[in-house]
Amino acid sequence: METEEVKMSEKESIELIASMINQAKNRVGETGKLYILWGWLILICCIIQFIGLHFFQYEKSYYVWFLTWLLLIYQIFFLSKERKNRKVRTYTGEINGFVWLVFFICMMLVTFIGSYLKKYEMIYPVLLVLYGMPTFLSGIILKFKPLIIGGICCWALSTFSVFISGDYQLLLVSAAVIAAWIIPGHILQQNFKKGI
Amino acid sequence: MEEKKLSEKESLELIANMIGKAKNHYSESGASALLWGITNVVCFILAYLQETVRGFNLPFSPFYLMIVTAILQVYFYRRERGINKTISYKDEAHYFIWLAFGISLLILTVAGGFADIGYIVLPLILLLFAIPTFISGCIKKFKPLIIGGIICWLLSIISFFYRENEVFLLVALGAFFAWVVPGIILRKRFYKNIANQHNGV
Repeated sequence: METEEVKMSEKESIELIASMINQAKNRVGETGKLYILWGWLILICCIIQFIGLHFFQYEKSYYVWFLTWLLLIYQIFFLSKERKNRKVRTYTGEINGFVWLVFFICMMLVTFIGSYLKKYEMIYPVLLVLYGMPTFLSGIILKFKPLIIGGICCWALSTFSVFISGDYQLLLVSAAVIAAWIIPGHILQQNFKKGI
Repeated sequence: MEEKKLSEKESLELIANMIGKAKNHYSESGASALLWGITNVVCFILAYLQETVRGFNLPFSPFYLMIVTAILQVYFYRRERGINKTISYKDEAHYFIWLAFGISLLILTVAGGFADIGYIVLPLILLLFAIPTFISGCIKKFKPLIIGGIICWLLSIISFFYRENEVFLLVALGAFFAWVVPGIILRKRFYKNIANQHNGV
């Protein structure tokens, strides 16, 4: 069937642009759901590993981090479902996607290579530098101050972490995820519910 | 003074004009990538020579050149911003990506220096090089930058395991692919566009 292309007037074009912008508002990132899920999971992993290492000297307590794979699988399904339902792709959403993709690649490289080389003391300070980047950039992209402050907190904690040894670095990572993801995530969620 | 009301057609023309004006020539012409890339290549080659060639000692650390270049980059960006008044969303995002990279690099080198983390700082620098390069490539939809970023990640993996002085050269190579090559391509494209505009193409 042949479809006829509808020509729009300037007024209609502007209305279309405005409606697309409105439709694209409050996307999943802005509901804070993923920040909250990742924030809490990493916090729980850090605390369990810290307790395992510090109080029970259980070397294999790092196994708890395999929980992150479950959340990752959920996120992949969640995002692909969300992408199917999405009618409009925003520029901010696209940039944010690239920023988090790069963060994920770097985090994987640092974790795998650091563990392989047994350079455990370098993993957490570098992870904190990496946490700071996407958090800060997402804050700039979404024009949302709590994320910007969270990113800066990660960088400050990273600088501090090189002077802290062993298990205690895990507590700094815990503080970082609270500042960078959990608090901004809950604020985003509240704003979303209020329709801000 | 009476405020002039624009028709829809005039509004669209104004938006199109602003987008055109907001183009950042310093970044679009490849000058920014070339300046930063060449500085990095020179710094890491000089650092390699200092480590390996007996009697080759500079009166200063070659990495101070990077601070000078970083200051120049900020100066050129701000000058461009002053001239254009309007900065596109893409350029703004670009600026903050590089700012975040600069802060991360500074933390890594300064805090890493205090903690004496040793050779491992070089693969980590390569890892950081890849971040703004890959993201910029994705935002601009410019493949040479994306490829440059991926090359930096691959060189980072190699340099994690190869603990010799030659890692300095790998970092220089990473900077070459991440910025010098894309910078040259951008520059050629920029002058070609100018020539086409002059010829009325």
